[in-house]
Amino acid sequence: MADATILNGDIGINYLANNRQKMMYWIGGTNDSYTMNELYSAMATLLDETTTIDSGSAFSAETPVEYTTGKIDSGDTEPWYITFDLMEHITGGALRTSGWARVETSNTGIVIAPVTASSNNIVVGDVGNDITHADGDSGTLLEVISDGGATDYLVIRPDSHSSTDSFDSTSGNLTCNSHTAPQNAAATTGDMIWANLYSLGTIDSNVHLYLYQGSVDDDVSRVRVHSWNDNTQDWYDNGHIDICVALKDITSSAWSIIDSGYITVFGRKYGDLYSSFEVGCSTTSGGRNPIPLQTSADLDNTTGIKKELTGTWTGTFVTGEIITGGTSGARGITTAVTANTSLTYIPIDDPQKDFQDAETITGSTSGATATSSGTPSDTGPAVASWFTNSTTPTISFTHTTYDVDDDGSDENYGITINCQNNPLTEVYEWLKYATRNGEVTNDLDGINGERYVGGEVYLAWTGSVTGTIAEGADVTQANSGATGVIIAYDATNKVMLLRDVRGTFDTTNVVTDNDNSGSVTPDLAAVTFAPKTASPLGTFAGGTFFGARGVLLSNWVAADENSFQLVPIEGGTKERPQAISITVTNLVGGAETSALHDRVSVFRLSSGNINKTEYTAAGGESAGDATLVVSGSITQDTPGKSTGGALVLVDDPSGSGTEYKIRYSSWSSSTFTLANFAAFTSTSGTNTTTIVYSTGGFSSAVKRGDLVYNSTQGAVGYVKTVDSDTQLTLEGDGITGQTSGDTIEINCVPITVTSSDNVYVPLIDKIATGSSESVSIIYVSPIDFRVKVRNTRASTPIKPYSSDGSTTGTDQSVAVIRTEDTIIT
Amino acid sequence: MATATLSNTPTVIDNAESTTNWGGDSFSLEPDIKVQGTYSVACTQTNNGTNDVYVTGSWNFSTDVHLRLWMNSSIVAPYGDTEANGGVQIFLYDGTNTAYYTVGGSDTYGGGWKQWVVYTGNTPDSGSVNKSSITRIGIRINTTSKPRNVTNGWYDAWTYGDGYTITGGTSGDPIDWSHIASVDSTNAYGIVTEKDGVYFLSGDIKIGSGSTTTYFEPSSQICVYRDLPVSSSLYQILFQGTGCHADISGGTIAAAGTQRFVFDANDSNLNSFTLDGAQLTRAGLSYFKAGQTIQNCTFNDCLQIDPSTSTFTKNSIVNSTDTGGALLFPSDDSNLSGVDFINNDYGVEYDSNSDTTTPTFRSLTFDDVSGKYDVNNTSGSSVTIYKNGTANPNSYTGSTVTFSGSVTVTITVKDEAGDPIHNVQTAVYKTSDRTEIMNEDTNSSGVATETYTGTTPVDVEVRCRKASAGSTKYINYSSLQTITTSGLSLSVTLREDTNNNATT
Repeated sequence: MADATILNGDIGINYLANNRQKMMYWIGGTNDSYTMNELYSAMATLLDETTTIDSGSAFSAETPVEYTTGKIDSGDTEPWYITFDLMEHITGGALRTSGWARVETSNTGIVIAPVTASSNNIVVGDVGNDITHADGDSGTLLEVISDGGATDYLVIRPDSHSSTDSFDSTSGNLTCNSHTAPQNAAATTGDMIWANLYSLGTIDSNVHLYLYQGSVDDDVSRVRVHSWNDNTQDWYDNGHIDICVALKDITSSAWSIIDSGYITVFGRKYGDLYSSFEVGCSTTSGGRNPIPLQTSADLDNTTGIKKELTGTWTGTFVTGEIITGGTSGARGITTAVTANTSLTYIPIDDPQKDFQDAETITGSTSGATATSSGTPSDTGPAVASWFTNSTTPTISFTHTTYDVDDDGSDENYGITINCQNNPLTEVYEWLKYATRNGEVTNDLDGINGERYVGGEVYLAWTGSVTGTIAEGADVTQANSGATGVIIAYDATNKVMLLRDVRGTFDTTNVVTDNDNSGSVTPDLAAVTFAPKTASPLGTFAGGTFFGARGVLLSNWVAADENSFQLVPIEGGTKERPQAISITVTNLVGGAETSALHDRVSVFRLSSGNINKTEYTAAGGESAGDATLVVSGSITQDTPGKSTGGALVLVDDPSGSGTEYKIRYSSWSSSTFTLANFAAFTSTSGTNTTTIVYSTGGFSSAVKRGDLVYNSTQGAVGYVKTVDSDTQLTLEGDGITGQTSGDTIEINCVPITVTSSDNVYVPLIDKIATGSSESVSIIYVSPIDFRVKVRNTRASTPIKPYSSDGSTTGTDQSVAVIRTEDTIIT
Repeated sequence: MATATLSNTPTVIDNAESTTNWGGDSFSLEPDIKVQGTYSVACTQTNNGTNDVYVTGSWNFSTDVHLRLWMNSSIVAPYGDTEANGGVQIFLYDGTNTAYYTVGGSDTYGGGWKQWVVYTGNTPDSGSVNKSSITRIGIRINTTSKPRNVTNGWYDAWTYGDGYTITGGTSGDPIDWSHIASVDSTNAYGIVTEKDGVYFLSGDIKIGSGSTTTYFEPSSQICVYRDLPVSSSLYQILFQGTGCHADISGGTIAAAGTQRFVFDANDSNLNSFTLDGAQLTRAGLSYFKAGQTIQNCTFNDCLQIDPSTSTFTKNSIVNSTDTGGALLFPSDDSNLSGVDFINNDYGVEYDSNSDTTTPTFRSLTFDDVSGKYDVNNTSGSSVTIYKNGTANPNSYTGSTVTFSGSVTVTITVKDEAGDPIHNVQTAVYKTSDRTEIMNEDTNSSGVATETYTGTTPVDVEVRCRKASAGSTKYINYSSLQTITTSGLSLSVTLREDTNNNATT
């Protein structure tokens, strides 16, 4: 029972005379929190009586929002203690302590002894009792901090400042009220600072703000802030916060300041435009720190990520309402509902709980109820099957270059988002999913996605790097003291992109890789820029993706060619040149390895004929080469610069005029880089129409229609089907005389190329992989084209389809008229 | 007119009323030039060298005595040798050997009647003698040239003895030094002599004798013990007897040169004694006893004063070099107060017989001279000395002494406008053990006051708080202060606490 209580009895006071407690602690029962000023005022009132003035003042007020507790009066010998638990109920002001730091021989202070949680029998009910260590230390137990982790912490007021009461043993049992706990490290001590953080601005409903704190140069130390007595959950409700956060690390021997007082506050409820703010709190007073945040519903991020199956509904759930599990307490916001079947939703709250099997789920708006069936499953961007290409995008954090605007000069990028040929609308939702509150498994540059902020500083230099600098390392600049973590670095292009930056880099002082010891002076640029807080890898608005600085897209779908804007590391905005698409629809498509799907081609026309003299070969290649060079530059509107396509090599039109269709993977300047499968020796089972290569590799590298060059036989064939990873079947009669032991190469130059040879590039020439095929072309000038679609192997063969069209600067779509060929057999 | 009666007076060797027993020269009786009786003996001393005059007899000085020999010689100054060379010597002769004690010379004696005094216990300057069988007592004058052949030497009233006992006077007609000197002069004892209003003392003076009525009441008389070659324990003024009433008012009693005298008023039978306004200089030990009053006096360069339980007040003790302490703390300190200790090596000696029941210094003040101590605790035990009034002891030697005071602590609390604040909870705590000295509200004048009894100086913490709802609230005040020997008076200004929003 408390010696006294204040503030409706919610806060208990025990005096020094009560076994040296002199502490304030939370009882609760009426309100959930009080302002620091209310606590200050209540204690001042309590302690100005004849029976209480013998206790030192509990607080001093440096400002209306900055207070000090501990040793306040000049003659205080023992500091007031305020529990860490109580501080989770304090708002509106910062607090620091004075006199907690123990100094042997002069100040008794407060110490915190770590004990092994699994063997700790000392409980909260023991607070106020004497606590002793087996080797003689003695004191009074003031608080038990147990977050459920491996170590509990016992807060102790030693009996004296003698070294014999320092609780400095690293082993041995602590005993309190006949309960014991094994101490596992020497007690720590120090004065604490609680910074007050309060958010402001407009945030969406049901947003749960969360905090990250810890040294950014050690990703293990930078952790989400939880309650002192819970290692998975914080202590405040959804919505705006007004909380006190400890700035010091009680596990360090002298309670060092954590990350120089920096704390990052995130508001990242999936489905919203995110917001975050990093505040540098005063390391002397804590301070009352405004956290400006702005979140709102993200109209481009509406896909739920969890689905709960249900039984028959009572009433009708609606989208956008909060559903609550009657037993689990889990809550979510519905994004899609299927009557009597399922509820797709976005989880909310902290922690984000799953619905339990067979509990009643109730809709907050509709009032509908349903019984859950099983536990929720992932859905939407949480699963690969949701994506158009059934493949989840990926992100890599390393330096790369790319000429996004096709101006002939590569830009520097540090973060590459592989769209995996999914629409940017899906990619964007996935990026939101990957950086949402609760994303602690998706590794973004080695850190939890929920706390990934993105690049903040760009460094560039003219000199050379001394030693080794590596991506992922942390760097520190001399004199300025600025620090950061390297997202991307390239010694050749002399650029560096940093995240989680502290301080301000300059162009004068050397920057050193703290992990690898390399160094460089960024004399050319040291640019600080704001991260994209709404979505740290890029935002999406008006159908356009706006990449965060340093973010590069790859493998975007053709339709998105002009739907993104990127910012390279060095700044500026980069967009793809104006592109148009030619889309052929009403196709029968599927796996390219299959022989049953449409062959679809779109050719350039010249004077009404297919233009087979588009390029003149430069000549000089030998059979088996993996590149092909043409005279002059490849035109900008040639498709597949980075994604590849197919070209046709015409062997001396005035001679044989034989055409060889070869798939290329990219082109640059005058050179096509062929999608070459390096020469190999065919193995047993190889015959004229079958190629067996026991080593394998065909499944991922060979496609139907690829050119096969048998150098042993000096003959060419084409892949009809990729039967397996080790076997191909060739079109038609295959290659005469082909047998095991032959040297075979795929997608290579099949002849000795001369300048008499020509090359042309079909805009599309492939096996349909879906119901439509599309090509993105940089629009330079109108192109006359011809669409050809053929399929005689499908279950419903069609008559050859051909139609002509012309580009006019806008997308073109041609729907194939599938006329069944009832004659072919 | 009161008359002093002297008893136990010095023993006469020869009063020179005849020339019988006088030797060393040819003598005649001189009726006009004398110090005592009818005649002196006169002679003509003309030797260039030794000129002896002696009395023949038989004396046993195995118990040493003080010889007191009057002489009037006109040859010392013009013809005599210096004192350093033994100009004037008293000698003792045992029939075989002679011991010479130099007492003066041409440089210290210019002529006229002078009583030479020497202690036979002193080491002779030359020679030796069997003091148990003395046959001659004489004076030798060593000259460096031949004196004129005229009567030039007169000798009278040769005695030996330490001093005498004085009685006489009545309550209405008491005696003083003048009465003693008068009788002494008649007998030429030379123990108390007066010259130009100054009384010169040279022996053991006992005032009072048993029940014999004696009223000794000198007022503002100046007495000086002569710096003579006497026993170091000779000089004493002793007050004694049931019939003795002594009341010394003002005046001075001092000792010249290196001499000290015991001032003893501690006789158990002594009827009454008062010492008021007097100055004792170079007294040796001084003793007083219960019932006496010693006040307004100055003890200068004296050895230890034992006031016993007398009323010892308003005195000053200065320049004491006593190795125990200028003042011996009595067994009951009730009557000891108001003493200024100035430049004493050790102020108060607290010994094993000193008061152990709340020993208190009542306005005993000390001047804090570096290297000197206010208290010398020779009791062998630690003691707490309580301070009262203006007492300010703060240093000690010997066993541990803790000083504890009783002083007033006053805290005055005002606001920033200078107006007193009523009902401010005001507390004072010792910083050492948090003992509460004050815990009360200020009055309408903004004042809280308490009496502190205990050790001073003592470090304290002062707290002033008025933070509750209902009136103006102030920021808590706390400061470390020191209650000194004069207490603590602190003015505190409280600032309004605009951050305190308490409403209940």
